[in-house]
Amino acid sequence: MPTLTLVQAVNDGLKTAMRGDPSVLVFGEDVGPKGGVFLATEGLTAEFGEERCFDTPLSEDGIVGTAIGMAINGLKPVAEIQFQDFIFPAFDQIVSEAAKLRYRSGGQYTAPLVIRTPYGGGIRGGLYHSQSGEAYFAHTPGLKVVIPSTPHDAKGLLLASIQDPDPVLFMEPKALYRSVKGEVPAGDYRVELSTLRRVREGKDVTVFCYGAMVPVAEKAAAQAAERGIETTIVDLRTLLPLDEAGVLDAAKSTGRVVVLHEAPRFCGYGAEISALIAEQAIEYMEAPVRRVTGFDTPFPNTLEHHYLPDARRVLDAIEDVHGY
Amino acid sequence: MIEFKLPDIGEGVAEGEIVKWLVEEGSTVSEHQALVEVMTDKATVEIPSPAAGVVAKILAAAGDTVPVGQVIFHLDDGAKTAAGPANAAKAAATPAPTGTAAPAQATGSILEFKLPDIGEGVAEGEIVKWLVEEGATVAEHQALVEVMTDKATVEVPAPAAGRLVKIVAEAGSTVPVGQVIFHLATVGAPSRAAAPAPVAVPVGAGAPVAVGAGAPARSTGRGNGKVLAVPSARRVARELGIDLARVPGTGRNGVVRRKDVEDFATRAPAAPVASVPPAAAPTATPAAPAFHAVAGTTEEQRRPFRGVRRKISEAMVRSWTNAVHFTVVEEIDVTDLVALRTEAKAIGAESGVKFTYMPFIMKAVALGLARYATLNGRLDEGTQEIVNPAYVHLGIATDTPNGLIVPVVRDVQAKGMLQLAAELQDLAERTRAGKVKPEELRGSTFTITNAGNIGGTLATPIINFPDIAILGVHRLMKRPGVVETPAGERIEPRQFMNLSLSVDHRLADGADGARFLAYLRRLLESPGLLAL
Amino acid sequence: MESSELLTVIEPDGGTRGIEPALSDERLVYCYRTMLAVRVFDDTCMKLQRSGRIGFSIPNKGIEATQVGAASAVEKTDWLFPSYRDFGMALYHGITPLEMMHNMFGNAQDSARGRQMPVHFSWVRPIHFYSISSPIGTNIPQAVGAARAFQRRGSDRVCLASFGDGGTSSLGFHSGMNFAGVWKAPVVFLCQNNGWAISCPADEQTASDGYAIKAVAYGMPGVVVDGNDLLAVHQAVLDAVQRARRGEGPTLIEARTFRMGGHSTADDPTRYVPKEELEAWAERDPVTRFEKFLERRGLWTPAKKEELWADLAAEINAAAKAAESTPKPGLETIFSDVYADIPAHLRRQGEAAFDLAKRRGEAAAGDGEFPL
Repeated sequence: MPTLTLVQAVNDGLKTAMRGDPSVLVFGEDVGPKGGVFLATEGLTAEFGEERCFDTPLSEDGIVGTAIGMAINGLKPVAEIQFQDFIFPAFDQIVSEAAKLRYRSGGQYTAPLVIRTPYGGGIRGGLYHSQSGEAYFAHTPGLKVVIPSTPHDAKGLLLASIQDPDPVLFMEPKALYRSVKGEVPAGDYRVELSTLRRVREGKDVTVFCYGAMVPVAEKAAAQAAERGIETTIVDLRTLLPLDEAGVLDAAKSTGRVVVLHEAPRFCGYGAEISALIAEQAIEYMEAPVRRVTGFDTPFPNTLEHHYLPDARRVLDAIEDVHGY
Repeated sequence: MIEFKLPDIGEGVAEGEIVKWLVEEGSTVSEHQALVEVMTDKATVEIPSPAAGVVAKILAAAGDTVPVGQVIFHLDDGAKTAAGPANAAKAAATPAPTGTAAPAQATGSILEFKLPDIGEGVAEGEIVKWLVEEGATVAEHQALVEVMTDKATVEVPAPAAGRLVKIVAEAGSTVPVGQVIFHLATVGAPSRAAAPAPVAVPVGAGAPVAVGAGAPARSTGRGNGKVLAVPSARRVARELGIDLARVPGTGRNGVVRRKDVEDFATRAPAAPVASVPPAAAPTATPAAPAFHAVAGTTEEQRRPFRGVRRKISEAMVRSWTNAVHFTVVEEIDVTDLVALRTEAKAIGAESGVKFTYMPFIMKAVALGLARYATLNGRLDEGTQEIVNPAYVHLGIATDTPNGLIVPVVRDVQAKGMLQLAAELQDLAERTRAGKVKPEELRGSTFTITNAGNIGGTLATPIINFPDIAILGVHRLMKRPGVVETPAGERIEPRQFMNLSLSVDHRLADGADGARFLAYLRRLLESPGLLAL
Repeated sequence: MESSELLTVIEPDGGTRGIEPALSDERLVYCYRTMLAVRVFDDTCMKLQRSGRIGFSIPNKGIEATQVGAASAVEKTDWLFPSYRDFGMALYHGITPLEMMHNMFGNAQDSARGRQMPVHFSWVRPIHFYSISSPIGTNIPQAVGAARAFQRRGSDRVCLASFGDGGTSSLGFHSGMNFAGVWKAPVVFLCQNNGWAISCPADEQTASDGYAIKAVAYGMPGVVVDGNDLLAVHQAVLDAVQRARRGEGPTLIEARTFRMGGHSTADDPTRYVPKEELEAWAERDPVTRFEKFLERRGLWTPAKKEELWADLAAEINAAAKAAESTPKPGLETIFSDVYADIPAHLRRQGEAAFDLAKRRGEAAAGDGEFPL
């Protein structure tokens, strides 16, 4: 089985989808001949031609708006927004249009599109190449939000997203693009949306995380194990719709929960997990739910490593809930 | 020497292949000179030298694939420090995690301590004050709680060393003799069948207590009778039919954890309760105890040094570093005073006023300050004047749940003792309840601190700055005393009480203090003189 | 694409067909020095990035005439709304290489406290050089709003908004241009058509006949100028600035130039820019072209260039070293300037961060590695 980096797995997923379904198109800024600023779309124009993989003008709202138009008219567009930080001109199209189309038309018009975008920090990208905006989109009914953390999941979730009948925002953790390698089956396979992945099993504490925070959690869990604390790690994978049963199960199994995300704390995704547990699993909790998150500030450049949750901070939270 | 690491050339590049070295080991190079060609999947780039120097060592060969961050060459730039330069900014400290060891669980059994019959036929007692917190480790005989009966206020000591895992009777509650008032987890050796008698220390019942420093940490495990327990503990307790109030909590702040409930459920029935025989005689000599290895603990209590405690600290530092304290102590034969007070107490009871020794002492102090005015007042630092008012406003140092607070009784020189007793009672209650007004905390010209309830025969009280002096009142001691009679000297049991007077030597002298105390002694030894 | 009349002044041989430059000799030399400073600064930053001493840079090579030509046509009391490829505008108006290097190194002396990626400058002195944002086109309507504020006060100051060919596809371009037209705002729109928006060539960015023509849609004049001709750029921008000062409203200037480096240090242009294109534009290098002009006027010699280059390299290298050895910003800079006053929840986070550092040590720096 081939071993690929996460971005190679995305590339492989796109190729697989395009080979299998002629209605799948890929477009965005610099995705054509250049192959994308992270090379996620490398080789697509060469293999499928400019009809199916092409560059667009510098216009995120145009990219998503036209993607919706294509999607309602028989195509399966996989649009790329070059950095999630640049998605905001397209926010209107995503939230007002793509997410609400099925609902407002009684199902007459639907938009099976995928928007792929690299997100998150860790490459010294400062305020505008590091944001984690998943909370804005998880707050949008009608949209699906998917975040892989391994090459295997990146390809499998992408293939599932492309064939999903609803609009999917596929957020790729850019810090893991090249730093994570793994076995990726060749050909077509799916990782089902709305299923979480249990990365590690441990009876003492449960850590919920996604994206580039998964390796951070793994490192902290290893350190915790040296101190005799056994940690369950859950990679959420699909933020919306969430695998609630899986979350509650994992929370109840230890009664001590840490939620981890790079995005700012206030009204971040961790608040949703915390509330869910408070509503439906409170009787099994041994300690308050601790959130380890980015600060409630814009994303700083030089001090990036202070901002991003690291194993040190996660271990602190693990020990805190464990000792409650 | 610079140990040059392959940098991240593009956004998120993880590795590069060395294509070609453009210099050799030993080459002299200038800053920015291209040294090596590296190919990443984004671009092929030339890496320039970060500084002028000599290429000391090449560590990656052409054709090698090198991860970002790996050292690829050493450059001798003539600098002294060996570590790499700012080819990436590094934070200095290696993380030094300070994990705290999990607190050792108490082994041994749980003793459910019942309120003993403290005096002859006492039926019930009022819990005045817990002297230790839930969770505290205590030694055998250590005083745990103050209980007031109609005979006396006594301290109940720990029957054994261990940990006070649960306070059952809250302060302020009245408890019949025989009811469980606390749970003590004893360590190692099983609890003894008979506990030593509580030490009855007759003190002025209900007298406000001043604490110089070290108010015990807040017990947050209990609040208005509710049990604090984590949600899973509640569920398990409900499922197993266990009363949460009976479960000792080992969580933070005394919270009951699920494991506590489970442990409680699986434990053998509680250890035999130690009932205290009325006689004060100690029990028969116990067998030599088998010494077990004791599970130590690394637990520590940490409280933020903030709030009232901090305020008190600042006040104490201010007093100590400004006022030059000297202390004079006098021993007072208060046998007659004790008798008088008993009578006064009866009179006071008729109007619902509790009579302690304090009104007498306050009266004596007011009379003393009229005569020795140099001890009454303060230094006005603004005008650099020593102020000795004609009035006497007495600060009464009071221990409250929020720490040391000093409410003030005004114009003591003009009030009778019954009125003083009533005002004192009201002020003490309101102070302890946190309902005293700010103006009632100001304006003292002299302060009295009464630690008699707690114990101690002498102190060096800290002046309630900027007062000139403070009087500490200590406990009653029954001692043999020499009594002059017409038939000659006789040794009799007498009641004594010490007074400790601290004075700011900048503002008054030792002789003043001694004279003042001597006068107080005259008044209190013949308390009828207080009517003068 | 075919162009409307391309404004140009300097001939390939350095002559100006008799047109007298609007700038004094002294100012002409100053312009040249600034262009060379851009080139040296740019080159130095590339090398700093490749040796891992800074994390990122944006090549400015080839754009010097557009940048400096435009900068020379505005006063220090006008406001600049630059793109992230405008070193020359900063240097011309007196921002020092040291200040720029502080930003490139993201240290405690950076005016933005190390919060932004390199090249995202922000200054209010000696000129308002508006805080640069990565998202494209966001500066354009903001420039219009600021110009509107001047207009309402009856001031004769103008705003210069700078963006690329790619920028004209952005939402901000369309709204900004439209508002400016409706308000007759005193703003000059400078579209630096440098041929590429990362890998998208300028003729795939739009179907318009060039970029200046877009002005028509928004009710203002559009001018095409040879962006590698400093005098032409200066003239075009000056005309537009004077129009705006007279209350005649906005102008769109398209400066045709060429991006001789890549998009950024993370981009390899050799993968998509045809070599011939690069070579053709190299022959019209704006710096050498202006040199020829100066030499013909007797204001410059090749020997002076070498000397100047060496001086600039020394100065800029020294600035780099000084910035490099300046400490990084303190942890507290993460938490300040989020709001005017720090709210309670953020103060608590800051205290917790300091407390954690005491208990468990500092966070370890990235080093080009990921936070694992």
